[in-house]
Amino acid sequence: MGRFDGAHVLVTGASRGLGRAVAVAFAREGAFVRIHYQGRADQAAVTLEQVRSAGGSGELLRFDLRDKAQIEEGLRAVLAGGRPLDVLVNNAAILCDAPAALLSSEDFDEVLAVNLSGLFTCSRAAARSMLARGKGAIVNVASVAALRASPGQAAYSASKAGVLALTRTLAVELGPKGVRVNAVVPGLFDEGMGPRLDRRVRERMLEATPAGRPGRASELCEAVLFLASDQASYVLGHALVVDGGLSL
Amino acid sequence: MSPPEVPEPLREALDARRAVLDQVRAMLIRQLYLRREPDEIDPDTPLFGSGLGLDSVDAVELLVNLEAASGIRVPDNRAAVSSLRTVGSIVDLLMGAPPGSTAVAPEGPLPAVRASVALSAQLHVRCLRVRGEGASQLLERACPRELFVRDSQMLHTLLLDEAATTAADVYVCRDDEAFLLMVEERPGFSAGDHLRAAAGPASVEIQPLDETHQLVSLDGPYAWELMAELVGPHVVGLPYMSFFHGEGQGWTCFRAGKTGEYGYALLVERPRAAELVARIQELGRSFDLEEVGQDALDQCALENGFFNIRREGSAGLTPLELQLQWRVSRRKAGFIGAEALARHLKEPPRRRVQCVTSPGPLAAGDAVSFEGRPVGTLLNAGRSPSLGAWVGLALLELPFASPGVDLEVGAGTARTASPPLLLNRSLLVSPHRDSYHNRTARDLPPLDPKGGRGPV
Repeated sequence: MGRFDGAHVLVTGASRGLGRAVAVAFAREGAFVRIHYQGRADQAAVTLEQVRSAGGSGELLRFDLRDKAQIEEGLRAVLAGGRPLDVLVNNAAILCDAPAALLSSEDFDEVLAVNLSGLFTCSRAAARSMLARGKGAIVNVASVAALRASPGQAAYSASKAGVLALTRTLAVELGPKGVRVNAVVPGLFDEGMGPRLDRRVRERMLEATPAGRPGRASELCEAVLFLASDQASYVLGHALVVDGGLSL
Repeated sequence: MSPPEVPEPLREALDARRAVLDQVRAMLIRQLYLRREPDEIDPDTPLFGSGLGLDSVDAVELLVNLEAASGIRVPDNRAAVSSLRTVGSIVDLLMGAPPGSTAVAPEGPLPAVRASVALSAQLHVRCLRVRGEGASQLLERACPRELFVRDSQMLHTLLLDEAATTAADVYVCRDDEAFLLMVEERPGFSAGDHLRAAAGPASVEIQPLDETHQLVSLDGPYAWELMAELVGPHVVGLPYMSFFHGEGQGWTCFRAGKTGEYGYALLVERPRAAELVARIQELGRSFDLEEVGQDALDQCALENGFFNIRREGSAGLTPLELQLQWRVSRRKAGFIGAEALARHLKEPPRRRVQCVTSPGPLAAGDAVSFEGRPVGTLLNAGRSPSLGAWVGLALLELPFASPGVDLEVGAGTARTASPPLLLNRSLLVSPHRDSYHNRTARDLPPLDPKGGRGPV
């Protein structure tokens, strides 16, 4: 028996990294997983393969988070079969690092468009279907960049702080209708964006992490699965920090 | 010899540019606390990396100072990065218009180096491992700049001969107690023999790696993405001019390159090389990877203003004439070529290399004239498919070695320009946002810097 047997789960940005790990973790618990991706069809196919190997099932789903019409069309396709969505994990995000004074307006806007506006549009479309049933869980993936200064990441940190604010507001708006909205706040991980950071930045972050090591993808998955599960039935609008103490 | 006559309108333009150049040099020295004389900062000196060593915080300060000093407003769009690449590109910005480029548009599909990823066998690069008690001392004697290089970092320098002419283009890589050298040599020059002669009886082992290792490179705006699939995502975080060893994998990965695009070199043990190359080719299919020869990379180097030891570097010129003073230190003594270089400094050169572009064919060896009077020779030239123009490097008498001068080359014309001549896509592609596989979703701007340079 899995914790998510028969559940219908959508994970955005699941073609690689932490998104892939989260998709596979849900599959392991018996879920049917919609694997969203934007560009990497081949990588998304690898996630689907891993979902199947983990004993679950799933399907690929492509849309561009910068395009509201595409997001809405994507969510319509997800719900078209009449199978309601139980869990949405808003994981997809982009980074565009530069000192603020050198960050172009286009890059700032694009990061906000994907990480915040895209997440909002996805959540709104999913929430409408969840509200109709009076049941559902949304888990947003934020970042420690939302909690502490993150030089060179003006756009990213602002977008992630926006995600935390949005999480609280949606939790209060949707909570009374049975839809729980929460967030995880990852620190430095050995999957996803962590390894891709500039080596010097990564070393500094690691030095500031009391746990003394980067997080493992499975450690983030546990937090996401908990917030999405009925075990967290009384947890609303929470930002669960999973960062080895980095933000302390 | 009297200085060549320059007609009045051009003289004024050259003087104006010279005045702005001097202003930029003074600003750079003041702001970056450079221990350099203004005339040590050649116009084509790169601002970042191994050049003047600017970091992004310096760049912010520089921008603010430039705006305050000149009233120029640097655009806050993605193309603004093209304004901060070399000393000359700042001068272009302050002068209000990009001089020189005769680029029209790319012809046909862009070469893989400019659009996706190119794989090349670096057969022309000699790799040496230098170790032993006297290794540091030997390299200090061989290199014309101070060897400030930490473990896992690379330094870009030269080897000079006793006459202070360039003999080799070298990356010195500090690998724990040893040094790895990646050397491109002038024809007929052997870095190994040169170092052995300089070492004398000192206890230094100079081991050529050519028989045991093979070097391949991946260059292009999406080289980072292929590399991440090949060796893991952490390669994306590898800073420019640094390297790491693949634990138990038999390779070392260097982030460098001379094309203006993302560039990685893999030094791999020969028994494992075929397998690694096959894997690159397999992964490369979805990146439209092309295998290219040295000519294609040399052409990119020319367009981006990288020094080529096998072309202009073989003309018996000094770093002063080659605009390579950033790879030399005037405060260092005792290196091979130091005395000759000091003599050259007493009588500064009357000629200097200068990038030129032309709509018509250019060839190395072509004579260059100004209003019928010979003023120089082309040392390197090639057709640029990316720019839809011919690009060359000319050795010109000094008043003419400045961007924006119209010259005659053979039966045609050419105009001097300030490299890099194009806005490399690598400057606009972010490994945290982009992917070769969804590039159609991104509207990558044209390569011509005219699209993005200049005040708004």
